[in-house]
Amino acid sequence: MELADVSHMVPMDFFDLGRSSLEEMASITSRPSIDGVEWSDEAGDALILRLGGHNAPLIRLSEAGQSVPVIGIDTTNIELGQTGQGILCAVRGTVVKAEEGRYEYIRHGPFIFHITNTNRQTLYENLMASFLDVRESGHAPPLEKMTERIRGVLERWLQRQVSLTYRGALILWDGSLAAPRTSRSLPLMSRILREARERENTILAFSKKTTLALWNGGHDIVDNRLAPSLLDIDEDARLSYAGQLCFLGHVYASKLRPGSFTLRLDIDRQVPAPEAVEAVQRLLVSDGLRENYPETLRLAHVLSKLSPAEVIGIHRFIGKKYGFQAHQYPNVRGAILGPLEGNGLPRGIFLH
Amino acid sequence: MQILKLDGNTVDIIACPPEDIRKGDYILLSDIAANAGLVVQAINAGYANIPGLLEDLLRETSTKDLEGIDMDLLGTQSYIDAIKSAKVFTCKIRRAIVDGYLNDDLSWTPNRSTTFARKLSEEETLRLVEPGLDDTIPLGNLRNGTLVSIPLSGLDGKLNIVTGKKGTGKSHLSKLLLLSLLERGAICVVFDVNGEYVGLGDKSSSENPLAGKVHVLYPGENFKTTLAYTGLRVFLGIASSVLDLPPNSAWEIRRIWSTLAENNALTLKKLGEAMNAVSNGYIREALLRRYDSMLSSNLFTDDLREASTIEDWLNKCKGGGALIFNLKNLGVGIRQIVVEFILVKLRHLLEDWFVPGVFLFAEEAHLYLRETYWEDLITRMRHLGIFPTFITNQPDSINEGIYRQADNIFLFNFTNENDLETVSKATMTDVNTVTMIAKALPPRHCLVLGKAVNDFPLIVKVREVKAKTMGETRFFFPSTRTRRQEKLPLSLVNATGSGGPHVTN
Repeated sequence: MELADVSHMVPMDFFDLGRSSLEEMASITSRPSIDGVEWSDEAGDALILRLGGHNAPLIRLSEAGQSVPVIGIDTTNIELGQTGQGILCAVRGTVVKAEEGRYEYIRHGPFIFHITNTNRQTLYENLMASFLDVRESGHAPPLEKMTERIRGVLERWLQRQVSLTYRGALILWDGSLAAPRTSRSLPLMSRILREARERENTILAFSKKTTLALWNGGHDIVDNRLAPSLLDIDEDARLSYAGQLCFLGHVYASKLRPGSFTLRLDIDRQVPAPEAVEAVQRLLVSDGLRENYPETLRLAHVLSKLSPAEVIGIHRFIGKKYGFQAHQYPNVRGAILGPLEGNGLPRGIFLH
Repeated sequence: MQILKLDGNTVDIIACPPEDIRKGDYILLSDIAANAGLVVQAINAGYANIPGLLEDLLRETSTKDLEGIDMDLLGTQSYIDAIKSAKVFTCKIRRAIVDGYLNDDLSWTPNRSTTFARKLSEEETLRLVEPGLDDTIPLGNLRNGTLVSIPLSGLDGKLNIVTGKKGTGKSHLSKLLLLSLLERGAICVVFDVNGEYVGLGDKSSSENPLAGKVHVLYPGENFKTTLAYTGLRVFLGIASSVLDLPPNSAWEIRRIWSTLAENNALTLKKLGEAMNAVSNGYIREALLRRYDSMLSSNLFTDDLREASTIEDWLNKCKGGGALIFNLKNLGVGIRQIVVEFILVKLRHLLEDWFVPGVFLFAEEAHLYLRETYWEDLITRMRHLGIFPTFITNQPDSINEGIYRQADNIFLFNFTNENDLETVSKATMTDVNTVTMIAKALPPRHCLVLGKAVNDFPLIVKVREVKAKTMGETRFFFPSTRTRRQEKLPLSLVNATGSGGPHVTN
């Protein structure tokens, strides 16, 4: 299966819904937000795990097995600025495939959305229904969380498409396989994992956000001399967050190369442990690793990220196509924090 | 295009999407609200400092070998590319436009938000440079081929400097100016140190319109003169200034000269005998040494049949003609004698209104013009009607003061920083214009500064001349002469097919 073969997976609704939201802009009247529901799909990623309370089993790895296709998926979102009615945002996602040392990608986006309190619910329901077959999507997140949510939908859609398209591949996610027990994305994640398993794919999720530390404060969880290896920290993770999170993956601390960071790695819990270990060993021979992080995921991230120049270009696009002019965003953080503020990405207030 | 920054005489203009503006192009900044504008000239171009561009480039570098498909359904990439390619043009303010007229008052500053910037077409630029011209000299072309002419009045009575490194086209331009002046009936005198002008009047070609108008004079061969024609004043001038004759000895020459003249015996032979008869040994030695030097120049003769006068030659130039003094094979001292003789004689003839004026072309004048003559040439002689054009590849050989008095400078390519510094310090325009533009000038292209272009510096590709203009450079190997640049075996398309532009659906 060539990556180009899945180019038919055009998220047309993403394009159409985003465009419609921009075109509706002029007729929108604002109303105060009545939504207070907190959404946090990434709550399962950003854990702080203190290890060393007991002896976690160490699994030594070797570069074994045949090379298999590795597919990394990542998405990004950015708030472009505010309008009188809401916010403008852009999302972009990339799928990178490594096969026999050759890398290729498909990049979707940027998709631009104008989200207001008026169109928020409809937009959310349409996205969930069109992309993830979720009909009972419930309340849309509050306005300030919508950008992140739209990105989440794009990411899940890409993850699902890849799971359905490939067979016998390693599918790498950026993040974790854990989510709050109340999260509406849990059933969706379960479904994608199941669909992947049915096609003999294995999903590995690498989280950069989880902090792994020893009880004594040290961060050298796995000795360099033991790399490549996995430390089974599933019990630590579950004990620490029992009751709050549902772990769909088995949690490991991975050190796949000496001298690099130890990263949290979640592997589909339904995959038997030997197969999970074998999948990681296959990853060692199938993909490059930089600082313990798979190259496919790194490239997917690099290709997805919207740079300041791209954001300015998108501002220009919106200005030319839809007649919005970006004006300087009142930068309270900048005024207070000066050069220590933020990531330097330009945002604006759009005036029609 | 918009004004990005205004700092004194410098304006930075940002163009997004980037426009095809090159060094030397003119841009009009129109402030509609103020009914005024500024004419600015681009002297440098660079990319705009877009936030995060470094990050972008690093990202592109790390993914350049990837093959991929961009599903950019909205078509934002062209806008993003335009941002990344945005350019900033550094410009110098040349003139203001107030109520539709050019104005030298540059104290007015345009309003950034109401000012519109647009590139002037070549035709529009030339309307600024050539307002209401009558008689002109076609000089060459602008980048897109528009013909540039300079007014005769921009050269008449003016001091010109042609400078640039070797092989860039200085001599070609000076010959073009010379021939153009001849065609319009001017009288020109050329001090040709390299024998480059001798082919101009090539009579072997029936198509050469200048055949018969260009007279090549070889001092000591076809150009000799008598002592009587030379006169005591010129003779003494040469002996004192060129040959460093002490004042006491100069008095002795006066005495001898007067006696010989009274006796109608002013010949080289008699002069030598009289000098030899001087009783004071020191003075005699001093006189004879100078006499020998004069003699060795072969410029002087007692034979009236081979003697000629400057008047004779100038008469042949009436209606347009050039005297090319070929100094190529002459020693340094003899060159100085010849040049001093010609200049003093020309001065006398101009004082007597024998001719209204002479255009003097002096190649590498530092090789034969003594120090005191520079000043004389650009001040007194100019007022009398000697209009010099200095041509040199050593800009520091010309005094800073001369650059400051120059009316026109034709500046060819210089890459040497010291040369650029010398020129930039002394020219009538700013340092940045000279250093930024001169470095990038291709061969045969010059930056024209001064009155000839109405003080709007202009980059001109000097036109071809229908005459034998090139100097005869001698080569050891025959292949050197025929060497040509071959097409580079470089493909602009990536041979591997990867790393090229991404496909956008």
